[in-house]
Amino acid sequence: MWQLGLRNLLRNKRRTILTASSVAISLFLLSSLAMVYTALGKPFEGEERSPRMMVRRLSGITFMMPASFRQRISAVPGVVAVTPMNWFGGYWKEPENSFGNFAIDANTVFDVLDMARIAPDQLEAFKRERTAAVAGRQLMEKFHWKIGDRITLMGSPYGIAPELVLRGTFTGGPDDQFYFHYDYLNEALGEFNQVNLFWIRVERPEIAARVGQVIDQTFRNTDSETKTEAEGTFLLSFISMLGNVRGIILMIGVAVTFAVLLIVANSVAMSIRERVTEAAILRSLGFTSRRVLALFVGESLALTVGGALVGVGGAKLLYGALALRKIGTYVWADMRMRPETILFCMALSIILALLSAGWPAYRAARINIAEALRSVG
Amino acid sequence: MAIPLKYNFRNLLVRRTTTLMTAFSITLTVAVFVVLMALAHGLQVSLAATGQPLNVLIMREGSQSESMSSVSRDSLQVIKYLHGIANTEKGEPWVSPELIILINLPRRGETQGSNVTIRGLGPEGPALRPEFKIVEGRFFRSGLREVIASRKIAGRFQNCGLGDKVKFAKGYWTVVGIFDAGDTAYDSEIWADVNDLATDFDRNAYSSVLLRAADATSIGSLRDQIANDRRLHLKPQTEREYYESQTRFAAPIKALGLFIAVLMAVGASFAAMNTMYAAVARRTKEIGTLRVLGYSRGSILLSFVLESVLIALLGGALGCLLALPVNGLTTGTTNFATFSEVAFNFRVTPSLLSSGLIFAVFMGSVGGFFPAWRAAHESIVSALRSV
Repeated sequence: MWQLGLRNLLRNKRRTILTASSVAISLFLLSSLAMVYTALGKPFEGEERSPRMMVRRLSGITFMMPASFRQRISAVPGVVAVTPMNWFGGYWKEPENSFGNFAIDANTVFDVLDMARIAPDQLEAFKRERTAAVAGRQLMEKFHWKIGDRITLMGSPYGIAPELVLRGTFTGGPDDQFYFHYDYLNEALGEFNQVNLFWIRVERPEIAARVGQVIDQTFRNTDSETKTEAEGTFLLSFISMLGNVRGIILMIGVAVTFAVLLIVANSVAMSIRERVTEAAILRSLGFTSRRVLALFVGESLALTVGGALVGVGGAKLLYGALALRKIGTYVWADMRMRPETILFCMALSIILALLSAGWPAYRAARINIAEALRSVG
Repeated sequence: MAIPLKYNFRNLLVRRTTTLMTAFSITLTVAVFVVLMALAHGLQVSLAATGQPLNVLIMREGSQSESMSSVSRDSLQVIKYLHGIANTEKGEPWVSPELIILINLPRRGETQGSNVTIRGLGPEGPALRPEFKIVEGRFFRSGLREVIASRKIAGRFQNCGLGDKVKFAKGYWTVVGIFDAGDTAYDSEIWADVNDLATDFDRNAYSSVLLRAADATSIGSLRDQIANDRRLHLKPQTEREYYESQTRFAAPIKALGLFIAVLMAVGASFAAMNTMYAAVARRTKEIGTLRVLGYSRGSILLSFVLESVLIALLGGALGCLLALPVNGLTTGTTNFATFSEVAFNFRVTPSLLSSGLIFAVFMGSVGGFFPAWRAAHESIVSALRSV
């Protein structure tokens, strides 16, 4: 029985290869879409249980808060560490070299980012010197920076171009970011005392929601009402700005799925139609119609699932090798094939195989033997 | 001599299930291609179509976008008296000081919001944009906390419809009118009086200044005057230049769309190839007969390629039809140059549809060529002997 199925698949090698490879390519595409879809749809890996939160102005992150809010935020029970965080928006040498550079409080930033690792002497050097800066490991590698390099940040909307000295590097945090002293920025702007964001850490993730409410309550009915969100939610709001990306991905995914269905169904239908006589012979040799049906459906399953294995496996290997997580943190770190995604795609391929083989195989298995033997194809 | 097309049509009709299934897989590919390109094209047009050739936008040196620029009130006084500015009917320089503020508003049906541009305009501002017209309600009056919203923003964001009150700065503002600014970038904005806005947000500088040059040669002279005035630190550019520099945001969407379409196309042409190989195998005897009748290898090759192209054209045409309803649908994304929402329409243009068809023909030719080659090179004797 198995051998018969295998032989049938090998009989028209070209068709088997063509069909299986179009299934492989389509499922590669489908699993890539599924990967992006899931990555965009939920708080990022590990962020669901992050003790870090962002405090921003309710009216949007382009508005600033008074720097004095810091004392009142620190006083909220459950808040462990606070740093101001101003998006500086500079680039290094060329506008193409843009990256996340922020003015923060050197004394507390690594208390907020307690998971990030930085050598103690480097952290000391960073804290001591007003023009010092630190960069994440990914940035160091990307721009081939070394400790001690002088880095000038150009093109910032603040209209200043600070000359900074790289004093340290960290890893295990947002490794594509760059930090320098908020005090330096504040002084350069004539003590403007305004802050984009406060980045805070609370005692435990479980109390985060409640602490957030208390903070927002503190500033209700002031000129600068705040919104405190979990880090993951805050980042998701950037993705939602892109518009309905998930809707478009879903639409493409549905189209690709139907295309696979048509391609496989066509190929299976063709090969069954050519073998109506053969099916009748099998039946007259004593094969039950159920076995003939199983034979045809099995063929379609092997074709589709085989193709899907190549496509989904290829996606897994490719995205693993590309190591998109090295490009950046957060959403990039999520660009990998999760077991759920792989399982979903494989299950889909099985459903597609059954759907496409179902009708023609049923007909071929049930056909009147005498009539089929008489037919000439 | 060519084999009549009728031969191909009849064959396609006989095998209609296979023909349709193959055509439909091409349909889906073409539809996805057209929809994604219509999206990219719509975004591009909404940015590229903005700007009058004689309008000059003045921002601070080094600013990438209006919202990050600032122009002091003193500078405005200097700008007003530059040479080469057109005059309004009242005989004053045609200049509008503008203030751009981005506020985070929730989209309809969502809790997450997006940054919407609020533009404060001087009294001469609206006339600098001839596409602008009020379609519902009336224009705002200054001093009364009134705003007008574009139709696209009113439809996509909460509390932005006619008569609604939207909250920003120190309180609520009433939407007294809905406007249409064609397919330009202004069609994604909320407008208010520049002085109202500045007071409410405690701003003492403008973001930018828009003015109308008297004629094309004055633009160069205005550039020189501003560059030579050391006090100003301002950068003039034409309104067109400013918006055109933002159209690069459509490029990644195009690239991604093309990537997806090409992958789908490979799958679809394999399906076409399968179909055509089966067609050739079934008609081996016929092919032998045709050769005996005197048709050359070339005309048999052509005939089979044409048959495949016919399937693809059918699929492509259906794909275009399937994609057509998205034309004019409004969607939005964030323009990361200005960090604000840009609402735009999907644009399915005739040239886009024809590239969809060309794409289909390409898939058909690739899928048909190898089977046709095989058909053309069958030896007559073995072909005639085949069952």
